[in-house]
Amino acid sequence: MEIEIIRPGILSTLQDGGRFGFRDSGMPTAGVMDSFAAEVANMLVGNEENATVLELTYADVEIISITDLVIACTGSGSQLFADCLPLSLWQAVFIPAGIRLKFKPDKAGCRTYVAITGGWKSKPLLGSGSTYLPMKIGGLNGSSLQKGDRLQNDILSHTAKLIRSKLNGNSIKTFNWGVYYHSLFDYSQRKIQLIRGHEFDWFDTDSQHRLLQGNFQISNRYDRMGYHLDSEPGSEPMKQHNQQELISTAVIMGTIQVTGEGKLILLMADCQTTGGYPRIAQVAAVSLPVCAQLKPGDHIQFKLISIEEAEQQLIGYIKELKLLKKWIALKLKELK
Amino acid sequence: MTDQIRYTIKPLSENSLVLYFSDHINAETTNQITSLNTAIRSAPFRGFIESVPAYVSLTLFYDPFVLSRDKSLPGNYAFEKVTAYLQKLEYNVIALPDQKELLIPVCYDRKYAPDIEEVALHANISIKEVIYLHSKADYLVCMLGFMPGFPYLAGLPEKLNMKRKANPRKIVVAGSVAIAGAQTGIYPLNSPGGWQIIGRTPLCLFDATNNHPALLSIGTKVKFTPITSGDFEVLIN
Repeated sequence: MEIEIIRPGILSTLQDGGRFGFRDSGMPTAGVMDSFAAEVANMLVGNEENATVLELTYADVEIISITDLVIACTGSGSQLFADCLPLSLWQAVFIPAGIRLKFKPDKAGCRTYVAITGGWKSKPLLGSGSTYLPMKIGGLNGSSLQKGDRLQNDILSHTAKLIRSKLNGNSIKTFNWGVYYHSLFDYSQRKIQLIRGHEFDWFDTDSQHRLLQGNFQISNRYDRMGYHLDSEPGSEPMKQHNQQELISTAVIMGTIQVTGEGKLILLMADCQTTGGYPRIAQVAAVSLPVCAQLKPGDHIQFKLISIEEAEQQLIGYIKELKLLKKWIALKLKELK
Repeated sequence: MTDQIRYTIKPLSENSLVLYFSDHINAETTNQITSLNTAIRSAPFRGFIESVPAYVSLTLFYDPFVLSRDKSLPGNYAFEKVTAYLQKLEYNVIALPDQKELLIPVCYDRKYAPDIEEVALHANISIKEVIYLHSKADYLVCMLGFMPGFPYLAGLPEKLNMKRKANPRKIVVAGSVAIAGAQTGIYPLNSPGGWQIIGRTPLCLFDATNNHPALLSIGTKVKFTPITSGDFEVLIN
């Protein structure tokens, strides 16, 4: 299976579950921003959850099928059209050769994932196909996708072969089922759940209060490494009540740092492995896919939960995804 | 022996926790962190993914779902189970092996050292003395971070301590050897940066095509050795 990029959009990269095992060398994990959307896309086409997917930012992307394809698109950044026919996201779909797939921006979010049976072929480095742009490694030549680039799929799993054998022909085809993702994940939530950061107590009570009661806006300083957040106009910067300086230590996706000027930075998938800014909070893992779909100008609020509650929610979420995988496998068995 | 190293444990997220060893950066702390990190990596708990040693802390990453199903460790939550694992972990504090220092060739010529004059002025010594002091000292890698393969080295002579630049450079060239506060470090890749640049090494600090991508790791002893720009040109090719 093969596609060609007609219009690459603002930032389209190949990403997988991330590059683990080298953070002690200072190597960021990179990987998909929205793990929920990426994992479901992979499940729908019979791949391992962490297989390499195409991550589109802000859509406005056009690709053409050079061969027949079986793909699944998820996320909340776009509306999909095959030639001029609208197609639903969150389902496996057969696309015959010669079809133009257009991803038109949808205000609801900003990142769309395209999974293909077998996963996209990439140039894996240090155990991962994820593109890490600052080092120009992974993905397709370490770069974001350009006009004229061609992408192929990798080896099909047993399930992927089954899907492939059921979805074929001369016209666009889908199963009579897809994933009703709303029942699994609420992208419309605007209260991002937080647990206390290790330096939460370094900040005065007014600052803590502003973090948990205030409104924040995603600023234009925004990329895969992280988002700078603007607080409400006229509100005070975050203030430490002590003079302590943090000795550089680990930071991760979801860490909220406070800069020297008292501003907030929310770290995302390409973030550095260590940092020296105090960590006022950590976004709960189950809220990270919501953060991945935020774009400049979006407003958010925060809500504090305990680490225990965060873990309970995460375990519940992982169990739901495992159930979904089983459900998809059952649906596929019925096809036989 | 399990009671030699003192640290406190705090969960960082659902899938990570941090061990804090000290409030002060010193060789003994680095030694303790390295010893414990080695012990954990050689007998990891189920669900362990990786660890990030830093100046005074060691962060462990794990899969909380795998841990939640592991009944061999007591506790209701992942961080409780990992804490229980750590309490039972046997390790020895080994003095850092009397390893040979890794010699890093550095060309301190002005064309590779845009800030060496400023550093000399700041320290009120000659450029020659800056080179002498910087290349005479013994250094210890205390952590890697900031960017792939970037080593933070302790051991900079006090005289050479100098603040970062008020305005960071847009591009610092890969291999640049630089100073910030009481630390010295080496930029593995071209990147923006605010450290005072006093030389450049022809060595490759990070090679993503190698399964051990970083040249240096925590606990490595390092010494800089001055080379001419002629040698630099030969070595870099």
